[in-house]
Amino acid sequence: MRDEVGPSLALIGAAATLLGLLQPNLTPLVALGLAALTVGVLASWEPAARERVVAKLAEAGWENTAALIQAMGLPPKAYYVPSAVAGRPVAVVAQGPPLEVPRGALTFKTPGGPALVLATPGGKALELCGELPGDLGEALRTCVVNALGLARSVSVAERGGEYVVEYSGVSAPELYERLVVRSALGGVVASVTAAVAAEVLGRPVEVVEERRVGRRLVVVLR
Amino acid sequence: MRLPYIAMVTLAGLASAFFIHLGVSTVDVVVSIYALIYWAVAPFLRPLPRPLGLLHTAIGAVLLAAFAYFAALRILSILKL
Repeated sequence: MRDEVGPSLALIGAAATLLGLLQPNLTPLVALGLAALTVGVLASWEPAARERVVAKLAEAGWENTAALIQAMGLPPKAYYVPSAVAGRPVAVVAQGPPLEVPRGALTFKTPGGPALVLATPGGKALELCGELPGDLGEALRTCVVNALGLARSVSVAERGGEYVVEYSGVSAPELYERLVVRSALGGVVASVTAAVAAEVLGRPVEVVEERRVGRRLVVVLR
Repeated sequence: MRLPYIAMVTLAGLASAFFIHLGVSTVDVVVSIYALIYWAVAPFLRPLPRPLGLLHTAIGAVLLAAFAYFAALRILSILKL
């Protein structure tokens, strides 16, 4: 609804301006039409412009995270761990799935080597989504579609121990598109999907595949 | 929607209603008053991020140019040049 107010105002404004210019006794409508037109144009553009600035400023944090992953020599592969295991929803970048995560740790050692604990967009999304239903499909609908508005619809299918989550009408910001963090955590929607799945399933989850075709997105979790 | 946007549309609406009541039918007065409203609201609307700020200034400049043109025509007609 909020996204449609600007373009609607611009359209009404253009129509009123035209009417005011063509109909001599309605000339004063030009003032209202011009106001609606300019406000409509500015209001429909402003949220995207501000979002771009905020995303650019926040990029510094993701660059530091990417540098940390590379400096530790870790593979770009994250396991989303539920809050029941780590105390809060986090992702662990490590060689293999972690059996346990020390509470409050930034790094720890696993049999396969060092591991890095990261806060993720998915973890932050869980704070916004609140209480989630026990079913994965319902939980994703409640969080990704209804609470965050990142996609229009979602469907979940289970195939041989993997969950195939398909979204349509995806509209999500890109926070770390060209950084190694993206290979580790997945995109924003994939990160939220994995974090929700880890919470609902109560076990570590990894993003196996992420495929985007236009506004459709397929995320495969294991 | 931000308050300055609502204020701009409301002021322009009030001005339009008043002009219709007065029976104004010339576009120069209407555009000039809208230019005045636009620049009066501008300090409350800013700051805007770069591409939007430039667009806002460009719209304002066009309105100001239109105002200057209409004002010049009126002055010329008074001076009978």
